[in-house]
Amino acid sequence: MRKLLIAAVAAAFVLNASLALAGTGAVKLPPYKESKLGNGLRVFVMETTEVPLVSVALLVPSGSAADGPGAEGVANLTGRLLLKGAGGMSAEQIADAIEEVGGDMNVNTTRDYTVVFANFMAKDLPRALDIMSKAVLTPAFPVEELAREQSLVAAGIAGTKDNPIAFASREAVRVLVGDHPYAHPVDGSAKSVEALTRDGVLAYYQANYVPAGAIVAVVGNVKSAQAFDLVKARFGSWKGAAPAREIPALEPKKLPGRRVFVVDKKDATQSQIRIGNVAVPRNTPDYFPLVVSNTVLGGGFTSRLMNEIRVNRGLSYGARSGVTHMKHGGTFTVMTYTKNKTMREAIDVCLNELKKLRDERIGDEELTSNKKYISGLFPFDIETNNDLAGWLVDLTYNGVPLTFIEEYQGKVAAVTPDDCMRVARAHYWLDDNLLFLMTSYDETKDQLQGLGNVEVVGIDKIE
Amino acid sequence: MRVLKSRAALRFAALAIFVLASAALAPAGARSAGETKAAPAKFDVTVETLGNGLKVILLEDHSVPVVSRWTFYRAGSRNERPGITGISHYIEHMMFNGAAKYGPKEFDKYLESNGGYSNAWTSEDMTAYYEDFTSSILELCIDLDSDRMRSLSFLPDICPTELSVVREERRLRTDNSVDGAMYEDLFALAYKAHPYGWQVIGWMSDLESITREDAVSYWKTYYAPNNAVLIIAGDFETKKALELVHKYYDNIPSQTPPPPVRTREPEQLGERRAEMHKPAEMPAVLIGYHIPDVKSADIYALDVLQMILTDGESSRLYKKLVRDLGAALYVQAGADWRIDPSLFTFDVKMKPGEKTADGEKAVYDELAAIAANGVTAKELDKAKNRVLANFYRSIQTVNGKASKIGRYELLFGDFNEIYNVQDRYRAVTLDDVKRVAGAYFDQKNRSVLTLIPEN
Repeated sequence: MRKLLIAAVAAAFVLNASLALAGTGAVKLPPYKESKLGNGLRVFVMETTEVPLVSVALLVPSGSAADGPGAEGVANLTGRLLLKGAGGMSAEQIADAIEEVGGDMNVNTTRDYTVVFANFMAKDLPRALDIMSKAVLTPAFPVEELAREQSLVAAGIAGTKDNPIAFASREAVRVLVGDHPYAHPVDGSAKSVEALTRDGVLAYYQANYVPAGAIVAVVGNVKSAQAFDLVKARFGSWKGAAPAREIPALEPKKLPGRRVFVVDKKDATQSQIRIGNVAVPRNTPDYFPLVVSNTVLGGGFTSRLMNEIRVNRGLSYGARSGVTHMKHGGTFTVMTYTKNKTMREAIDVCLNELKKLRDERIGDEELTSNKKYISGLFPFDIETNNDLAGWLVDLTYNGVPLTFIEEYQGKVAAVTPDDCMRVARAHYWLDDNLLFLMTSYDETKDQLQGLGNVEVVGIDKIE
Repeated sequence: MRVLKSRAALRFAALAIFVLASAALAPAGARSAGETKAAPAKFDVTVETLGNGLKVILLEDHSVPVVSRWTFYRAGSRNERPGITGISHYIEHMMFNGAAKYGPKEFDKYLESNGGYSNAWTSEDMTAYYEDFTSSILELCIDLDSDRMRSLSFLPDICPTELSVVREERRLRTDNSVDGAMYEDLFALAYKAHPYGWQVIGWMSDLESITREDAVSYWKTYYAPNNAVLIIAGDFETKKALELVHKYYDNIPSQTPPPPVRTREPEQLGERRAEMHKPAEMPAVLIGYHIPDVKSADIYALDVLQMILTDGESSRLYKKLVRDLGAALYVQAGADWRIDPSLFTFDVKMKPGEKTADGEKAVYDELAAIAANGVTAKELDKAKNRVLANFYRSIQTVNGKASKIGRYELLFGDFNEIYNVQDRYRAVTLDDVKRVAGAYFDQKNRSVLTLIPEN
């Protein structure tokens, strides 16, 4: 596998024993134990037996939304520095200790939280937890490592411009979300990252890396009692109270007509198209109707967008829609891309499909088909130790009970055509949304008539 | 494995919209070879070859109530010729566009409405199609796949539309992608004769002119049962599955076997250098050295060398280029396993304002150092541990098991090689690594493509 489209989903495909009930495709979680240490750290241990591997996910409930003005990127930079010197080990010693036994460990920051992820041979669980606890409890933040990571992050941010899909998606969110703490990319900007200091990182760390609200999940071929003891021995002494900080809700604000935001990239031979609006957070009661209606619109190969844009017209290789839920808000986005000449045609097809979803009830056959598709695939989304550990910490962070997983297929089945039409009207906007384009503006400007209020920015003007 | 994953874009669009931005520049370890190459236990399989030549490999595994069904064809871009480059991948797309029993749109419709997922990919050496589904629809999936193997339609109104989809894929992955464009140029520079000189996606001019007749003729030759391997892994009864396989595949006629790929790449007699001028944020350099095919005994030592050089933050070139010099955003290397002699590539992305010459020098210096002094026992052990852990990571699912069986069957002509590979890695010595570092990385054997950003 090669490129970025794939990288985003690459983690997906693995399956562990006893996730589904024989014959029905119904999902059942492997047995797990949950407890809370005295310092507030929540601990999950789940036993699987398929392969001699173990995954550990440790979630710290602060992400880039906690960066604060002028310090965009500090959560991400702090996360990246955890493995760059801690507990008396240098960055190189840490890398050696992980890699010499074939282990993987990485730190990933999102808008809501930071997760330290480890995947090791099961016999190496003590080693994995040793390194992870040093990284999280006693990071050193050496100044030379800070400078190195700042430089790498800044180069990475610049390099996103060479990847049209990633760049368009990143900037569309920024424009869409506006002035909320979710607006800026997790990485920050080259300028904001370069301005960060060790003191700033340290202050962020001290305020946010605390056991209150943190969650750790160990999933794999290990004995749960033993794994729990290993976690307790390393994280029991972690101290700190939850930060007094409120991330405001991201409110959906309708625009006075459609906003057309164009990033001009003169050498583009293909135009990137995003259409979207601010939607609803993870805990929305509309979660399942959104899953189903979004699959009808832009889910699999038989989705309406795929059918109209790719299959019937050959306009693009891909057309999708998606709802991204975060704790304090969400976004809805349609994405596709096509050669410059057919940009307007593709936009019109997308808008027409949005309109149809809002105006017409989904027929029974189409709805049933989509529900079976969603339910049939769900077991494949909770396959590996990594997947399970990820679900455990993410659901728990969002306050969603773990019964979510076993109830998923039943709740999908219960969604009605009226539910879908209602959530489409509420959460998939049509005339007051954002149309984001990255295109060669000189070539395509004549196609923009009547779409909305157009703003144009040269790609060189975007940090 | 370097493949063009074709149909799918993003299975979880919701995630992707946010994830893509940060994933964008993660060095996709994809090109590295540490993938999946060791086998501690044997799979309990049943193997049968049908009268028409279709080889069938069944792996019954009741640990989960799901099945993964794969068909591999010995058809990839190495089987193409100028004028029809990209046709293997184009046919991969067409295989979802209707056959005698299940017409246009019906493959996906029947599969998805029954809770199944399908995809396919094409590489230089092979094409693979698969479905993942719950056990209850095994017969439907066998019916769908045998239908297109028997009677793919190539409807005249669909052919040009799908070719247009493929051109958009090319615009996305190659023409508007700095990395994609660079890989295309490097291989075109390194191969003067062999089909590895073009990419799986094919040249744009061919994608504008491949005809229906081209496709029908190519499909008839390469997508016949005698040129394919069927693998089913998961929750089924072997006897019952075998009955279904006979029922649906037996009556598909075999065809005259495809012609062998005759062209061998002549020895390279001197360094080849080229530049690419393109709007880009960062300078970059790709370096390729010719190495032997997958059946060479040296492949394992070359893999180990690759891991020691670029896998992980404790690797030599990461330490040198990213950490010590601070000149590169990332460095990755790959020793591709291919049926015909392949390339060992280095991909160095410099930070803005840095010089590619420094990236090149670091690579050459490190190769020379290993050729002169070898690597340490610790480095060798680390690589071997990585191989083992990656093997387990790759077989956590029935999908992973089935795809591994198919890939080894096509690369080696015998999937049983899965079991020998771990021994071969174990057998790699310090001397082997030192020897291959000296044997293949001569200046005369390398091609170098430098990206000159123009903004």
